Amino acid sequence: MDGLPPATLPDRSRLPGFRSPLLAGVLGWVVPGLGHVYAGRPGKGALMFLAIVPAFALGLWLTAFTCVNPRTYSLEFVAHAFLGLPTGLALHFTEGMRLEELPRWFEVGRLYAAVAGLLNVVAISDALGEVIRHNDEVRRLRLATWDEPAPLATPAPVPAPAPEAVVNGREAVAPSGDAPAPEPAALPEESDRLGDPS
Amino acid sequence: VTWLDVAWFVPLMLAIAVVVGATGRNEAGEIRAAVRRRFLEFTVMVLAVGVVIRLVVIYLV
Repeated sequence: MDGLPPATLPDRSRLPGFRSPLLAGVLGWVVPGLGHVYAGRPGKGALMFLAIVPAFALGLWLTAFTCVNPRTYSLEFVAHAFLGLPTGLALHFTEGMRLEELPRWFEVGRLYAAVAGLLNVVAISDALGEVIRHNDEVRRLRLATWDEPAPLATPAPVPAPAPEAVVNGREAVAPSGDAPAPEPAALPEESDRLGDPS
Repeated sequence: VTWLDVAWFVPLMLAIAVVVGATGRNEAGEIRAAVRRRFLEFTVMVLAVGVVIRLVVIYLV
């Protein structure tokens, strides 16, 4: 690393970390828009919060705070259940409330509360998408900076091999300096190779 | 069905348009345009359904 200039060294502390899609989903379920804040999109999270929570609150108000009830409106409660904290608070504070008379906009209020819960499903899935996009970007940055292979040192030029003489099928050693080239080993006579006893 | 009944759907349509329009988009201008387009689509859809119901009531009931 001594050969690299300081500007090319990766700064590990400046790279953003990975984020958990599971945590983003849980946060977005507890409070609409909080998953987006965790994913690094606070403006979008605020937009989601301002679209979903007032719709749910308006639905509660139009039904005189009686629409979140798993026993009476069990099917709608499936939609309400996608709003973690607002539905929990509504369950806690409106438990035991009874209607004296049906409000005029009761059905509209039920629709508001149910649609708000279903809208949070869309918001949670978008928060998951934001986290996945963020993690892809972090992975790309790390590949571009961290894991970039160090530049290879330029190898020294290899001198071209000297032309080698081939004597009787053997490579002759090139003479160097003043040392005399060794004499090639004498091949056995043809009569020796044939096993002639004479 | 009065205009007030229909008007109650406007905030709900706006909420749906905001969430659906913002989903999958990143730029503020892109989100604004998508929300406007969704809101217009929902408005036309609700008005069209309202008109159809009115006509059915007028001619068949």
